[in-house]
Amino acid sequence: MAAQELTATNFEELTGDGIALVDFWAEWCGPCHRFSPVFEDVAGKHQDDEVVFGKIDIDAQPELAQRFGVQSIPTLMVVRDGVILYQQPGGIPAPYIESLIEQAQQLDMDEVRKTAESSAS
Amino acid sequence: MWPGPPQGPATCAFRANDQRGCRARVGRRTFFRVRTAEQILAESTTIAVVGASRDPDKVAHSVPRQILRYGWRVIPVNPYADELWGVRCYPTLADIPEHVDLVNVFRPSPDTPPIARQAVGIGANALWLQQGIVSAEAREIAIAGGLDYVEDHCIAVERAVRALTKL
Repeated sequence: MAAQELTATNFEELTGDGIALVDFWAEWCGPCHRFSPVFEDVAGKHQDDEVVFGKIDIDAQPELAQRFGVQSIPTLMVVRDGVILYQQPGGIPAPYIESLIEQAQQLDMDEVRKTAESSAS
Repeated sequence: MWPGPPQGPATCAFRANDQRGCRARVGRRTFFRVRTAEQILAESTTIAVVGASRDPDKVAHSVPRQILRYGWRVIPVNPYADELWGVRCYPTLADIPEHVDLVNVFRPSPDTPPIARQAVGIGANALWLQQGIVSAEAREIAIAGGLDYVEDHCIAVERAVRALTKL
């Protein structure tokens, strides 16, 4: 399945449960256009599993870009069960994206939440 | 003791490129006013783009065009082009016959100190180096000249994320 367009309306619904990869981009951004086919290719290889691939156009969705503190694009974010596990600017090659997915799958989310709570308090 | 942020309306007591820097005077107190990237862009009307490119595949073309699209007056500075996006091009900052609020730079970092000097020379209010461009020397020149300064940050990302527009 091709990456889906994420908006302020559907963001929680599509990324709140399971693993989601989010690509922040813009139409005028050359590096975004170079990264986009890589992202779409990886999305195509994950058609049958539960991983969500989403794209956020920062011109159309400034609230989401602001909420996640996007400073440059493309920015790739990995979310699992609504928890941000990874967020870095710059395009990365397909094997790195696959590795991020694998790492996200292997995490014990109860442990992640415990660590997050203890570091927040 | 630091008296805290200024209360009430602030006015800029000196020209922005005054050697003493841009200060806000409230009553008898004077404060330095350091603007955020968002404030700099929101408060600018005319933006000169040094290193603006004719090549539509380059960010030095697509980023300023995006700013133009949202209503800012964008003046390209490129000695090898006559016109970009339908706007007259000037060879240097000094050739621009009107006030420039903000100088936005798409040139390699080592080229930026002379551009900073020119920005001070034309009385611009701020200098903004695009993403990936940093220069301690350009920063020093700009700040000593009373200009607000931003580096390593994309102006079109700032516009998008803050939803800024002049339309």
